[in-house]
Formats: sequence, structure tokens, C-alpha cells
Amino acid sequence: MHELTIAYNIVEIVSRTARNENAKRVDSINIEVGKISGIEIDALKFSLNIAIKDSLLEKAIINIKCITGKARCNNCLKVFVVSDLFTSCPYCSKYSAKIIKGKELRVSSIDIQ
Amino acid sequence: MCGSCGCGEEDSYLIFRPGKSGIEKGEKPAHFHVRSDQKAVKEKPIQHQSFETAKNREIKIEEDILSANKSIAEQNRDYFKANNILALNLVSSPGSGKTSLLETTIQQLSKELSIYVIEGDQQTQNDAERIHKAGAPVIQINTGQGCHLDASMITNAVEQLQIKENSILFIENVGNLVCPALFDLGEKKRVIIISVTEGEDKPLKYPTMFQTSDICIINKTDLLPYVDFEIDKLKEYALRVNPKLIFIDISVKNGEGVEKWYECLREMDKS
Repeated sequence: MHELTIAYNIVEIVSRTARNENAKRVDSINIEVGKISGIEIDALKFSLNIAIKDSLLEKAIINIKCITGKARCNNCLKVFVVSDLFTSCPYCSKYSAKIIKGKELRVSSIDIQ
Repeated sequence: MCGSCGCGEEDSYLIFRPGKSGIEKGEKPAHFHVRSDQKAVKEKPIQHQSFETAKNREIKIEEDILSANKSIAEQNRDYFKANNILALNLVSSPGSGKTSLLETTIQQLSKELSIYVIEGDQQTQNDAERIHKAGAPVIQINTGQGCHLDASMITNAVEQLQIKENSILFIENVGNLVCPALFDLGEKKRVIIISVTEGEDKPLKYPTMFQTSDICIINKTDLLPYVDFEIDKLKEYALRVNPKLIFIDISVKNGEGVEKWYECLREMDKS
């Protein structure tokens, strides 16, 4: 359940920003999670429900943008969609590829009052 | 797809309200861009749903959720580099032989190398006691309910250990092939240990850990005649996930291959 640590980190980042902005409350939070970032979305949602208790985020709507994984083949340099870390290149069948998208784990913005 | 940047075409959105079990699907999500002058722009064309109300203010953050840990890990890394300490993060599932490998390594190499150990387990001092008996200074971290070590735990443990310059620090992470993968501790290399009793498809089942490791030790090779484990298959799967992974086959039990591990350590210690 490393998602709980992630959830507390989100609360920490958002609370710090909201305090600096003298916010009364946080209405919504926008988070980006890569589909191959190693985070289980359901576990993250479960953890967030625990982590936001008694914080400025307690009533906030949480928007999670799930970012599709993409990789560039080290052999033929073509870019392709990946849903795991061990997909072979659909163009040349080689297994060596660099992940270029899908490992994001980021708080992008918040709406405050 | 967004007309300004082309982003978001295949990405999906989930919206949920704390306390409610249902998930709303945000098909036409709010969507943000940053101008070159770094001022946030919230796009509101027809297809973009907006969460903004009159009183609301949108604050751009763009902060990596793991940034706090990464920053402490970088401080650890700088400290290790400045003091010429080779820090290695040992990860594996429980029972793969991390502690046994460390015991043997300490017994064999403590005359030529200065070795320190940080032990991570949810509970008990058992591993620290074993390492202490083997003859190396050791600190045990009990994570309680925690499933991984993080960088700040290492900072605290390092302060207490008072590691001498020109040493090797082994950090034995909590036995878990999932969670420790995401937490940089400031190590120079990550060493994954897998034993032949675990099944050769582990790299495909737990790819993040194999992808973030530098060296893969395959332990308990003395048991190969008794288990259905194809070592070549494991390597093939692991290389799919991480083409740069280096393998060392060993048996801590009968000593087979451990010399190669020591050589590898000496090499890393020199560089």
C-alpha cells in the first residue's frame, strides 16, 4: 500500500499551496497519474479518502487524469502505446524500448476559495 | 482531442468525491496549459468542462508527488558521494536470501572493505542481530505498518550509524517486490535478489522493481535440480523489462558464484 504514502504526499503538497494562498477551502484537485507509474488507481482513491480527513481538502473533488503509456523503440525509434513495461515493439518486435510517457505522478493544479 | 496541443487523446479521466463510492467519468475534462511566461491558462472552449466558479481561483502546482522523497534522496546521494560511500539498495521478496547474502559478504570481505548495514523490516530486530553477529555495524529500521523504506528514514539511520569515509553501505529494504520500487533512497545502485524457488515469471509480474534495478542476483542456484525453474527464461523476461540488467547467479548456501558478486562489489567500490 505505497499508495497511502502517495496520498499523504498529495495532501501535503495541496495543503501547503492552499495555506500559502490563504485559501478557505480547496474545491478541486487535479492529479496526473501515469498508467505505468506503479500506482494502483483504486488503491490511491481508497488512500485519498483516508488522507484527506480533517484537511483543507476534505470536501474537494478529485480529478485523476490517467496518462497512457508510450515508449520509443531503441531499435527502430518508432513510438508506440504500452500498457506495461515489457511490451515488444509492434513494428520490429524488439524488446528494448524507452518509456517516454505514462510514469507521471503529479499534482497539476487546484481550485481554491 | 485538445486543439491547442493535441494532448489527451488516449488519456482517460476519473473523477470522484471523497466519501462517495461511485466514480464519475470525466470524458471532457478540464484541461490546462502553461504559457511561456509561466502564467496558467485555463482553456474553456466548448468541449472542455470547467470546474471554475466565480469565486474560485485556480492555482497551478505541477509538482511531482514524490518530489519530497526525491529531494531527500538527492541529499543522501550527495552525502554518500562526498564521503565516498557506496550505497546499495537491496530489494527482493521476503525469503530470497538478502540477509544470508549480507552475512556471507560481511564475513568474507570485512577485512578488505568497510561495511555498514541498514536493515528494513516491518517488525523485529532479528536481521540486525544476524548482521551484528556477522560483524558489521548495523541499524534496524522497523517500518511498523509501512511497506517500504523512504529517503528520510535513511538520513536518520545514516546519522546514527556514523559511517566512515570509503565504505560500503548495504540498505536491506523491506521484503516486497512492489512498493520499494518507487522510493529512491539515494543509493548508487539498486540490487534485486530473486531466488530460484520464486518462479521465473516474477519480472513480468513485478516489472517496476526489475525495471528500476541495476543488478539482479539469482540466489539458491543449488536448488535448481529440485525445482521447476528455468533460469534462462527468468533472464529473458527480466531483459524484456530492463535490457541493461546485469545478472549474477549465486548460491549463498554452497558458495557457488559468490566470488563474482564480490568482484562486482570491488569494481563498484573503486569506481
